[in-house]
Amino acid sequence: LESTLGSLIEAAEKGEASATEALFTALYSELHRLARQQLARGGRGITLGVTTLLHEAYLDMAARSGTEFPDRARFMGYAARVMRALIIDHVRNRQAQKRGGQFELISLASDLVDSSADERELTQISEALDKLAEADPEVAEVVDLKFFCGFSFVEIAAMRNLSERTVKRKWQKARIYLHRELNAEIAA
Amino acid sequence: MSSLTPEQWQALSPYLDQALTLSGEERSRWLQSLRTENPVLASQLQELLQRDGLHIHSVLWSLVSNSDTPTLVSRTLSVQIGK
Repeated sequence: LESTLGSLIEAAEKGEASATEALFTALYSELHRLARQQLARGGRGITLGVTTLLHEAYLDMAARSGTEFPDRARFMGYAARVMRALIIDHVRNRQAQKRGGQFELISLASDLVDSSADERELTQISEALDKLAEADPEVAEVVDLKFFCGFSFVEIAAMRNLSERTVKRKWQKARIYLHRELNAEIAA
Repeated sequence: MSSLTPEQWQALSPYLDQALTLSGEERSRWLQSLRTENPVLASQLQELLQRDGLHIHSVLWSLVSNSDTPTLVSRTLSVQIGK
């Protein structure tokens, strides 16, 4: 499977639409297998969240025909943004449901977001991240990769062909930006 | 306090990069020097730098500490796509 994925990425780079689809299929299958392994080890219900989150991300990404991923880093950046959007949508839908709204809930597992999380705050973070993405896409991407995909600084540095120090500085800048932006929203 | 516009952030960003590479004492001296040339810029930078290392947000960190989901996703994709 590992070698297949490498060749699929190469094929996708050449514009073969079927390769992109096959890439998602391969990733989905492998992630699903891992989720089952986690369950077999007695993992908590959050593992189910992995499966459903990935499923939603897969559907979202596969539906966008013509999207190209010339390298792993861009694929991961895109996947991170999709997952962020799904998590935020999930939180917003839960909030709407609490208010008695008529919105249809998407199928993400409710344990994806800790029950103690304040949904309003999470929405504010998402909006602040959107603003950061507009002002500084590279810095925002570090947040997506680190926060929403869980990559380490070393992994992000390797993906982006940057030094670990540079990635850490971008993370620092993101923290500074988000801290200011969130406080500006609270003060507004 | 209002939000920073993208243009404001982009103007501050290279100075922030520079400041973040400096240690505390070096940074203070650098800011002091900048203040004589451009007091507004120095003041804006100081305000931003004061946020470095502060607790950012309860939700952000509660999610990071409960990041089993993204970690599993990232580990899997890292193995499958990258190597």
